[in-house]
Amino acid sequence: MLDQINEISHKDKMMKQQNEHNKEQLHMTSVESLEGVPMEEKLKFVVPDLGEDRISELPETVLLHILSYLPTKDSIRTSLVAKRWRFLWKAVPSLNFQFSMERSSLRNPSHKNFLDFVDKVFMHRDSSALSKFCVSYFNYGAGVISFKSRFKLWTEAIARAKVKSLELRFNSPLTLQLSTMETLEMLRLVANTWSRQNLNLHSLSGLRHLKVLKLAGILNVIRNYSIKDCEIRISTPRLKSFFLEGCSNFAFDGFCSLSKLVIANNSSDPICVSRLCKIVTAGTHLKIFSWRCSYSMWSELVENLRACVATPFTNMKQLCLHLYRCNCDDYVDSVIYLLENCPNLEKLVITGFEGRPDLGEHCDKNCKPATDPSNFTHPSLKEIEIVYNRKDCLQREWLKLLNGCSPRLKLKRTPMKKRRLVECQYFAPPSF
Amino acid sequence: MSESTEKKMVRLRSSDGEVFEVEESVAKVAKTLQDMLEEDCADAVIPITCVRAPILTKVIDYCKDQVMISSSSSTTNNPNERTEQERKAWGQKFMEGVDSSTLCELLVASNFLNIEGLLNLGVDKMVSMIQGKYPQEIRDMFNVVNDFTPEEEEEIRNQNAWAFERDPYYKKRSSSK
Repeated sequence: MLDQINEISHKDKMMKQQNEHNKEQLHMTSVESLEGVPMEEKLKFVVPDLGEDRISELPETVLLHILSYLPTKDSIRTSLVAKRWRFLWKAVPSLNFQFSMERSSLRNPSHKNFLDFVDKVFMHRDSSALSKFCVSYFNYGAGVISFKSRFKLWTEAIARAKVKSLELRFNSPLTLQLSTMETLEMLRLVANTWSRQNLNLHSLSGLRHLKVLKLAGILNVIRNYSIKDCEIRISTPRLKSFFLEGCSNFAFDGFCSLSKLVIANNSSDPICVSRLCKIVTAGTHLKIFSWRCSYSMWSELVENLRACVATPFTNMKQLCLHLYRCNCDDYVDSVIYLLENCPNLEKLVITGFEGRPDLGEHCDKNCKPATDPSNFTHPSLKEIEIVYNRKDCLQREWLKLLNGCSPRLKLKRTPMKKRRLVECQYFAPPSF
Repeated sequence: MSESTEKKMVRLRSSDGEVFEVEESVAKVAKTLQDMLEEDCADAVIPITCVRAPILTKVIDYCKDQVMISSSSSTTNNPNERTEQERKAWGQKFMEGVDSSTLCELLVASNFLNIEGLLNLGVDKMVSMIQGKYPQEIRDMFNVVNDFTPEEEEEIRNQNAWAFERDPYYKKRSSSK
């Protein structure tokens, strides 16, 4: 470190000599005289463009840090910048590959080129630690089989390298042997929800160090698809953050340390519903909770919660609820119930969707909430955000509740964009 | 916050000799300074030999802001607390108008002083500047002198041909020559 500093200060000296004149000017606009001047103004004085190569002054760790956020292709390209950069990319601790093709055929060279490219990168890298591996692979044509066999080799390589973070986005069927990657701390698997052939996970239970887990669209419930047959146990005692979208074939264990939970699922299968509810009711350490599920699942969740009131969510700070058929007043009771069990809640986001009459989702019930919402107050709530598609979908009972909640409340209402609404209703895969 | 009576002050000297006086809590945002202060080996002026005054000003601005956020976050009603979105927007604003050479100096400073948040802001900005650029564009942006001879450059291109071939950037460039 000391050497580094000396080196830098030496360079600084040389630079000073070169730019004596500029420096003097800088001194004259001394910084004290700029007190109270807004930042933008200050910067005008601060930035003398001396036309110097400053990026080469950066220590190698910082340069590697920067390169690790670039796609691997871009980071290799920097080897041509100058001598200092020539071998830098070989030590970058992360690999990031992207492939996307609408209609590839085996004759089209780009698919083969992609596979060769990844192979070559593995070959030419030096022995520096590899901590992150990301692949995004969207192939709507031929060549998937060769990808599968290569992919197997890559995962073996990264398992040997003891990666900490693995991120895969794809639309093809894959077999992933995760039990050998015991060092993983972050795992994100995003598959195309609409595709029938999806990832085949052998086991997630070996991942003792996992802190962040995102599963989206994997083994989505398809008609006539027996859930019991492909149940996968997940047990990760240190998990902090869990994102689950459209996957319900998992049984979960030991999620007690969870602090962030996002669930999005439109299934109405009772086994799946009870599993998801189990995750929520076990989450006594939750700080952030987002729920985007079907109408029937909501009532199931509330019933489950009522059954085990003993553990309120004392750590809960933020709740995001997507309520389907929100024009039904019977939501009011259950939301109040949930709020009462989150005594330290600070922010509530409610996204209201009206039921679709063409799908028979009319709310013809005319139920009166048991509690009068205007009498409800919450001790810590500071902000409520309402996202709506039509103003009248949030009925007067809702408004009463929200206005009554707390006098110092910040109420924000955001109209939902039409396009986004459609996306949300059908749980379309996230935009890539 | 102004009513607090005794606040220990710390003095920092930039590479070009300017002395800044800041509250201890502000200085402690920088892990390097925190370590020094806790070991009590810093009661006079702390020289920060690799950071010029204008850069140090910006670094201190950042630290002051961090103190402002964290000092009140323990109380339940904190007007300064930011959501993730607000934090992002603030970071963008903080980095707005920072040119490439200032950015590099900020990175050197935050690396030396060990201020993770500022380092990450700088790295983010740097990544957005470099991404998808030709080597020549990167050189121009940061005034890097190309110290390769044409032969050496050709050699690297050949060595890494697998990485450059069919690279739209490379193709475009070589065809424009």
